[in-house]
Amino acid sequence: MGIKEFWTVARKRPVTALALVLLWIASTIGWEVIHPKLLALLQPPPPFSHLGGEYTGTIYGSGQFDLCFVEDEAHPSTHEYDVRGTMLFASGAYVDYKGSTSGNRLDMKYARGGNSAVSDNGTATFYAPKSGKGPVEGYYVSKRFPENRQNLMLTKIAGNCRLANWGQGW
Amino acid sequence: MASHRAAPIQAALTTRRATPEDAPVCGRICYDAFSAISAQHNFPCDLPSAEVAAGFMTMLFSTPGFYGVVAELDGRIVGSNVLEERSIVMGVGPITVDPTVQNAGVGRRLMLDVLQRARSQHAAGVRLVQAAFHNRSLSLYASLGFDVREPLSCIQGKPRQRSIAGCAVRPATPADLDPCNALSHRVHGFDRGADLAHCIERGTALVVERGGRITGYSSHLGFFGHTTCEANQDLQALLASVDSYGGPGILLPSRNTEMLRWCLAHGLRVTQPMTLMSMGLYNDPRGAWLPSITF
Repeated sequence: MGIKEFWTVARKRPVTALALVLLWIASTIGWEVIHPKLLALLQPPPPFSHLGGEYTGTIYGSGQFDLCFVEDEAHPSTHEYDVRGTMLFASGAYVDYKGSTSGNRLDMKYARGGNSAVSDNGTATFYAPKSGKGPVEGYYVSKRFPENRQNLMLTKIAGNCRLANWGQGW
Repeated sequence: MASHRAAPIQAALTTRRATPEDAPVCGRICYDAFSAISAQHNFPCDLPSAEVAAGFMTMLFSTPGFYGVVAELDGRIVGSNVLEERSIVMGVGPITVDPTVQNAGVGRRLMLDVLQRARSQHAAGVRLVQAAFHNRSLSLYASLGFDVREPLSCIQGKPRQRSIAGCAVRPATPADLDPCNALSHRVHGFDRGADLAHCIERGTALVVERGGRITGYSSHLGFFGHTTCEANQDLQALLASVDSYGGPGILLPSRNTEMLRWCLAHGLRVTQPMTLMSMGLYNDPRGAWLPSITF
């Protein structure tokens, strides 16, 4: 089919013409290359895909809960995150958390105890904001004292993760 | 249609924490208010008598995990409200106002009081269920910031089918609490463990097992209980396992059309429409579920 014939078809049957173009691109570039790009175009991005960076919010009045979404540098297109968190108490003690996402939910679990006699380890649950951007809303429940529970509202403070205290001191 | 709006009486209105001694008066007001609004719309009242309502209020005003508040006008109780605060998501209700002083700001004041309480308790979200025919309560809750989440159908009757193949229903035991809480967390993102533990102790809770594991539970199959399941077949097994449902009935999310049709095809009937509303944290559940009249 020549250019002239193609434009005749395109004017009369635009959908057929688009399919022809896609077929031509697929055959030229290769289906293995175009398939994931097409899927990425058709599928909505994962719920947490726009949340990279560091978030923070207050807990227990004077405490602080920090959350980090560290993008997988080897596979940035997958939007997979290594999710880390730190709960800082007014006393200076801190507790580390690690998280995993499931659909639109992020579950944070106690990873390791802090630099003092911190007993209040537990779980935190967050939800991907429906708008695709922050704030990240959720809650924390103490494992040892389930009546110790707090709502959490984390706002973005940096595009890159710092979490200076994460994994330090033990 | 005639419309009446009384003058606001906020200046003379006070609120205070409810006590069990307030229950007889609050029960009477609760019954009068519910029977009046239901009668106006030709629906049956949710409560059978003022005495039952008083007993219910006594339980709410004396049980840990519930915060009750009364509104007083010149020292006379004119309404009450309750906040269930046993989980990170809290539930409001029943809220009732003496029919002689309605439409004058008492309900709003009672709502603001429990919302302030929820904030002070660090609730992640607050939820309630309202009678869908009650225009004023819908307007009040919406104006306070509540979003409509689910249309609900209150369903009552005796199910024709008494079991579901592959599902076994049995009374819940304390050992079931952890798997039930984990299931609730998977479906809703939070658990209602304190409520469920109380219902297991009272003997109203049921679990359904499929493939050798718990795939659903109900704290109580009725108006005051909540139910959480992985799939509709688990919910069907629970609904089929009893002769009737407590109080006015169960509250089925109407958008679960497969379950609604199953109910209708199995001898159950819709008795009234209701609405689940929420403020703060809310996510669409990932499973089959029934809220209680609180949430």
